Amino acid sequence: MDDNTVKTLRDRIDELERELAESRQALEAIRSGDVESLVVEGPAGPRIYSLEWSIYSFRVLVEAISEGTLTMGEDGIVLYCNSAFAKMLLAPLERVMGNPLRRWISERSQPVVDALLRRAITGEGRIEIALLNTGGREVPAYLSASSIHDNGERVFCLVATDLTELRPTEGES
Amino acid sequence: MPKTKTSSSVPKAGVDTSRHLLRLYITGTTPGSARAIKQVRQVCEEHLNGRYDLEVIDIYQLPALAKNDQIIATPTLVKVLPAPLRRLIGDLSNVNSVLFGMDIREQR
Repeated sequence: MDDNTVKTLRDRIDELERELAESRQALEAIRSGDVESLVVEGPAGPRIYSLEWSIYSFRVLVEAISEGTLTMGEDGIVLYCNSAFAKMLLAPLERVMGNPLRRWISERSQPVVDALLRRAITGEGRIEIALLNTGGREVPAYLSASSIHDNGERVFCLVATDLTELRPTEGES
Repeated sequence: MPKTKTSSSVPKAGVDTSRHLLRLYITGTTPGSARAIKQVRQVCEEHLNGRYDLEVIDIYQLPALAKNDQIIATPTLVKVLPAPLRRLIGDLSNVNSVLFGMDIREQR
């Protein structure tokens, strides 16, 4: 065998070993209880079997509501948001979740949002702000905040109400 | 660095290949989901020096996307770019496992 063939075969073995390790890791994660759900392909699309206790009706309610809802860690990273919030920002849901909320708040609204969050540590509050959508356009909104402790960490719960339809001409010139 | 962000999974010509695209599959607001997001962001911030895009996919809200990356459980972290695609399922708290699983080497 020439050197090239040996190299190709070695690369292939390396890749197969990686794939095998990945499959073993997946099975081990499932067996040791490190996963929260299993995804099973069905004729009507994927079905998700949750292994964690969850309140199904609450989840459906949050997903279906027309208000934007989100949770955020103390570091300002969006941990969860519903599709109504992503729609207000004209952004894909997966690009809002896991990323800083700050990016979607207009600069002039940043200080009031910070103040709202400070207030939310001890109580609740609601303010009017300008969100910033993907196109850089301001979206007037009410933002309400409260906070909870989840596994020892503070999590902010936010609700955003789109005011665009109530103020159709504001911010346009 | 262009700030354009799309959810397309197909790498385009001229794309900055040193930039990682990671996709994290989770289920809603569970504690494990929040934990996974924090752990992944921490590793990315420390080891990718800002050169990454993270997409977090809630499979309750976007079930069709789970099919694309052949997700069988959550949480699952997928490295989409640079190729080859890599998956890591379950506990993401071990930094070394995440770095190895995602082929991440220090980028400084």
